[in-house]
Amino acid sequence: MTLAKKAYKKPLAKKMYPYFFIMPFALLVLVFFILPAIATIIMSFTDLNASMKINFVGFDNFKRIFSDYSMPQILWNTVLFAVVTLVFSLFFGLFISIATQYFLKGKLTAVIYRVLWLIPSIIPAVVYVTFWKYLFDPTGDGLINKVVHLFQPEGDPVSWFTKIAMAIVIIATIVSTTSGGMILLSAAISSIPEDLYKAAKVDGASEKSVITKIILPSLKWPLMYITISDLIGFVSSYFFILLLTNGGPMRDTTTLSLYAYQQAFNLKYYGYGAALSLLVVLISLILTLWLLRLFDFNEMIKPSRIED
Amino acid sequence: MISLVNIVKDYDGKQMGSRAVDGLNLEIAKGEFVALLGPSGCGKTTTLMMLAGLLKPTSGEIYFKDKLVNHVEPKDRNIGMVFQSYALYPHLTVRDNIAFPLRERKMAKKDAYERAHATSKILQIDHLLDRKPSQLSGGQQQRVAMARALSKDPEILLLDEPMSNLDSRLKLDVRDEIRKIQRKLGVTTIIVTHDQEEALAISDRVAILNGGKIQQYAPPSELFNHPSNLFVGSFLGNPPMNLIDGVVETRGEQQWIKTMLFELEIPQSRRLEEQHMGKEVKLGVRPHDLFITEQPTEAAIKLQIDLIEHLGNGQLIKLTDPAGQSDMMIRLLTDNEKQLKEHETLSVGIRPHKFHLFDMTDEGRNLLQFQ
Repeated sequence: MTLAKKAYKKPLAKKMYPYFFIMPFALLVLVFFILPAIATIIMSFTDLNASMKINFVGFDNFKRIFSDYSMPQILWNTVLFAVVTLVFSLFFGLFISIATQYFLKGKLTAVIYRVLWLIPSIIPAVVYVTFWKYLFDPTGDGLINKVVHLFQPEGDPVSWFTKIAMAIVIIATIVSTTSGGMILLSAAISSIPEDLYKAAKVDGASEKSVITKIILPSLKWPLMYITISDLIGFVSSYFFILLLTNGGPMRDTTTLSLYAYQQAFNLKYYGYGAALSLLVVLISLILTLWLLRLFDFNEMIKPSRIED
Repeated sequence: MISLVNIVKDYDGKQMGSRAVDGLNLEIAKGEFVALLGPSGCGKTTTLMMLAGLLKPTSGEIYFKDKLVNHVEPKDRNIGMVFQSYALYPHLTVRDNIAFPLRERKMAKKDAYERAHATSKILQIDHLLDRKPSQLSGGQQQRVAMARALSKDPEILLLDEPMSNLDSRLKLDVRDEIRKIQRKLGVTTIIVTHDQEEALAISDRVAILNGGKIQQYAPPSELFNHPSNLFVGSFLGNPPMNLIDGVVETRGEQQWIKTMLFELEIPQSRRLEEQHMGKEVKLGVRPHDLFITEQPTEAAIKLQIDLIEHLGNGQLIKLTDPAGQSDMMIRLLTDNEKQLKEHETLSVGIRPHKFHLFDMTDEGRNLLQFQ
């Protein structure tokens, strides 16, 4: 009788089962995510450089950030690049998805148009950047200089990358990131029930009301996701800038993450580079938390209240 | 008030036969409550969408009060509509939902909210005005949808299966409520439904549709008692009408129907025209128009009980041929008083003025003339 009362105990082998299954991936995460993160933190407190000797220097690297004379310009570049790129790629993503999923819904032109926008994000970044380099080439062979030459045969070819480097970097980034937001927003719009549009038609709603009262409110959560992930991306990625301008001319297009890369890998100041990249992580974290608050994230995870 | 003349609606389909509505004619009087009833795919929702202006007819004319409205936009038709899914605007409060059509007509916010409040009182949802639709139960959402449709004081109210998402008990309440409100406001109302009980209970007249055509358009009692053809007869009624193959014959002065199992005399008052003699017909008898006779006469039909179903307020008895020669199955509805056993043999009679005869050739037309 006592046997029946005894609670069922899982055999040890069965308890271990789930852990066996997650083991391979857990190891990958440990080796490629957690250990490098710890290494970065440790490195930021050392003066590790090309000589590969580790000396702990305390907070020296972080103090150096504040005394670095190029820091104000770099921070300003980062803010300018991230904010302008974000605003425009959000706007274009929203504009295109409303145009193709609401006004041109189900039309072939809408599909073709969206596929065209996808191309920049599909082709390899190096190829993509080469196109932009060709477009703004400072010699007479650059596409834009050729066009300018048609209208002003007397003028010299313009050196675009010294004049408007930041603008080129921003435009190239906008064109390639717009499609990501466009896909998410289009999916969100197409999940709005058809009946709502019909009801709006019967109720005599203007297109403006349909957009502001039906479509936009239902895009709140995808917009939040896109804003956060794009913003973190723009703050922490330097790939396009590295390939397009390498931060130049001078430091005109150097953002914080690119600066960290240059310090660590061009100048081999690993310790200082690690401290800078920790700053990038900190900024991203603060921005994420702030945006989650701004979008009222609690509202989304709260269950809806239904009663009779 | 509303007339539909020879309405045809084709959907742009690749295959042929994508005709949803095929030459439909319908007249609806002012203040009338009309139901469009039929099986799925019969064209009833398409017809409603054309009335709403959300679909344009391929050919034919729609008139509202003698005015051709084929190309009038939905918003200019002065209609209110309740959708099957209710289609409430999920990000607006109940108050804003109800006031939405008014605000879109440029009514001042204060007036629109006042009207919304007044309408919500009629539907007894004035305590819910600050909620969002996701915070409401199905029945409450249904009321909000009604309130939104009625807030602009429409001339025509269109209801697209408004009760199909409610549970069966709530359906009965909402049904009565809709009827009461419709009477009170006197708004011309058209409801689309596949639920025959709902259609018969709520409306003044019911149009039964099949294959994009109106089969019969009449008040509920007439539809039930005098179905104009085989489709209407077999579609209406639950449990459904018994349909038995037979042949009509003349024997001296009397006309008879001869079936595999029995013969039935047609009463003098319901005589058929001569041209139908010798032709095949379908005999239609509703389960409650069959009765069990205590003293078997010559005319009584001998049948064996195959199965008894207890329906609560009665018993549904499924009867078969005792000799086992035909696979005919006849349903009979009787009260709970009778103590019956399965496989027992019964004598059954048919009420002489209640059966129907449907032509087997001419689209199942009902042959019996009613006086």
